[in-house]
Amino acid sequence: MNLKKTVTLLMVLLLIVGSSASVFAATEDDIIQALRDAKVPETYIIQAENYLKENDVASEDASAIIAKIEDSKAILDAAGVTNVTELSDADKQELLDNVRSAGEVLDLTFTISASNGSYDVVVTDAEGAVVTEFKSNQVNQTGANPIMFVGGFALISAAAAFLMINRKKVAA
Amino acid sequence: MSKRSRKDSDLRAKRRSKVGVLIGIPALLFIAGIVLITIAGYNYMKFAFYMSSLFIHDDFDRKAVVENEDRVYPKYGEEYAELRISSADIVAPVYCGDNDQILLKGIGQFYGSRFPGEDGNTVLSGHRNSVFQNLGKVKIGEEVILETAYGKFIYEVVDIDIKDGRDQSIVQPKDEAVLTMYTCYPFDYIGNAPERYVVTAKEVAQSRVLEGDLTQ
Repeated sequence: MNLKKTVTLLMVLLLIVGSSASVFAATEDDIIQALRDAKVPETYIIQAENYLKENDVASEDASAIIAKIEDSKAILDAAGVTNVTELSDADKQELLDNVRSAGEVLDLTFTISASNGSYDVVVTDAEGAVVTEFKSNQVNQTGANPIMFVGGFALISAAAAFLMINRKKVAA
Repeated sequence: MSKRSRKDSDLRAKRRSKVGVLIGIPALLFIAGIVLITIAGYNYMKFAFYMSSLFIHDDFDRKAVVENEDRVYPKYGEEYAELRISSADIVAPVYCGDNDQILLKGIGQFYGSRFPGEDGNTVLSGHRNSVFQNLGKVKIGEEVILETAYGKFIYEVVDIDIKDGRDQSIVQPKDEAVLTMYTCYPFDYIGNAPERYVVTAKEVAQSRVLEGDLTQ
């Protein structure tokens, strides 16, 4: 192989390596775009954006997460649904596994609790600190429920009334 | 044992049993009542503890700071701002995130909403029996101040509404800089209140720490 051919080959290899690096160097913006493409609700996307403002994600990790988001989108597309609750149990499980493994890329643990067909997710980091939460009803129940206070006072009042009524029997 | 002494013994046993029931039932009711009140009061005590800390420290330990021109954003669970509505005597710390534990400490910012100073909806929620007990006194046109370590943001109340507790439009993103504050409604409801009292304010001025005076 003459020198000219060798140089040309090296140039081509460099171009391939260079272009693949630019193609596969996924960024945090790409994660957000992948979430938008997957039609994830906007409030969930903002949560992801807020998390990424304070936490850096390496390019290879971003690529791995994007792959999981695309897998999840494929599950929804294949089932022909837009809402997770419409998925079959097997598909839901596959989706949840995807979510969990996407979190594992960033050392995040997704604790998922299900009730009445909806899901609440608490995300914690390696130290166990809560990173964010995804709730099916994003509007909070605010205000301590005073029914326990009322119940407690009712029980004490009932105890006092019982003693008052039966004090003569007790004394007898 | 004679017949008479057996009868006396039976009578005594019956009486002991009767007294046991007469004292045992109210004692059980009393203990159950105390347990319920203690559980219910725990949240109030915890909130009182955090509120008392406001009087002990001169300033909040806000985590969000400005380093050069780059903001450092608060992490979930961190206190980063103070909300003031003088017309309704509301002064309370604002935390990033709005889970049950955070709401015991003060006002929580929904993590799926924008931070003050960003374009979009900043959604705050608080308990109707503590930080937002006076939210019902706020009127349209009144001023709301949200002060963070990176700037001061002034809003004007533009809308007050009562919505269903499952109405997700309360927390939905918006294009313009808006502050949405909500709490459970009716304010004096016993049990889990079914509705939400929603106060919406639009940003009218802001001063960034590095920019100096308020910009309209």
